[in-house]
Amino acid sequence: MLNDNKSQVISARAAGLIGCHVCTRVNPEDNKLCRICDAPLHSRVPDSINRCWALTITATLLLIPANLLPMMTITSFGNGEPDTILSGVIKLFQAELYPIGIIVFVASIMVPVLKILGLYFLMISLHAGMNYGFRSRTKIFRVVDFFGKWSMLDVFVVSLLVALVDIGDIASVIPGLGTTAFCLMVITTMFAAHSFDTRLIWDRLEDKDE
Amino acid sequence: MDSKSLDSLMACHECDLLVERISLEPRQHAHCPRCNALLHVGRKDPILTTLIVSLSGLLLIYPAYFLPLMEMGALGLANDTSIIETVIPLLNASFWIPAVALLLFAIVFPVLILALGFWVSVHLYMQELPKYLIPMLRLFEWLIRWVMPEVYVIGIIVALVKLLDDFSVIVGAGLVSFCVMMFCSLLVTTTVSRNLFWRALQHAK
Repeated sequence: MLNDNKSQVISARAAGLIGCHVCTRVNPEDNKLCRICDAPLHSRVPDSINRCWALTITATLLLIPANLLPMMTITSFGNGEPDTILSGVIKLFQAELYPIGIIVFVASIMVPVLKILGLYFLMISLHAGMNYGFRSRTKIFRVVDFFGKWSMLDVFVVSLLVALVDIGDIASVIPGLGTTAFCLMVITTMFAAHSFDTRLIWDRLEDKDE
Repeated sequence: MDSKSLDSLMACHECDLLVERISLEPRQHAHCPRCNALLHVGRKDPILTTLIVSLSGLLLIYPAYFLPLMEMGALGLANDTSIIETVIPLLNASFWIPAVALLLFAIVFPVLILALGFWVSVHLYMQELPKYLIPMLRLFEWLIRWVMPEVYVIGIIVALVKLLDDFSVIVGAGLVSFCVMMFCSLLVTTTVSRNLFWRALQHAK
């Protein structure tokens, strides 16, 4: 259906063109702004890998307070103990709320860790000049990018519980500092993923061909 | 290269491969032959669909944001909070960052998506080119990366299940309209097939 003639496999950059990331139109390489949508044009995202390293390392550091500090304290008649992410998940399993427990575990423990590991792997593979697995590495990035925002789930749940469970002295929920750390960690990883330019993976393929 | 032959091409946004731009039948998907990225999806009347879906979402703003989410009680005491009010306790507790994140990602951005979708589709439907169309479409493309209606809806369900364990909960009109509105917002991010919108603009230019 699309152009799959082998002899015509050529990237926009090799053809002296730049694809606009906003409107997908092709521009001559000396255009500074897209001829259709006026967005600034970059053949490759500037400083992509450096920015991605900085943000991913920041996210890794934030992962520590996000997991160690309490997300919230549920008090009932004045009693209650703070819950971190992990102890919250354990409590859900103890209460036999398995589906919800699995959702929270995946969204707030598995996704952030795998996302950060995925970004490290992609960046190291670029530095190492890996010249195979182009498609699978692009797929890894797609998964990282797609699931990124799902980690916000726990922050949203905490804020809902804080607002909803406020029934005089009977029960209330107090947010913990872990929420702030967690929220920052998710935003940082999203910025990291947005700054990663997958086209850099494929540039290696063309260098190999030459 | 003249602009006509430029318009017949596109660069894959994930691997930079030059591919021929083709027009698609409704529900057809075009993938990059090299990296398999989804390049675009064919839609039937994307502009009209966006117009209808975004209008439906906008009509739900009042019930979704200002009516009580649920009535929750124990021992005769009750709490009826609306979506807008869920931000206030976080602000009162000085949790600025989570509060602002919640406000932007789950409350403001979904409405902005609906409003922009409506504004853009109304103008394109009447074949007009308003002055700020380009920045609006670009803002729209940016918002798509940061809007999280589906995450918030799942968050509400998780919170609800947790609460059902200890309290009696009656689902309110606010919750139902909020979920429908978030669905409309999510739909608009997919119906605004950026290819077609930008093409409309290109023809007009």
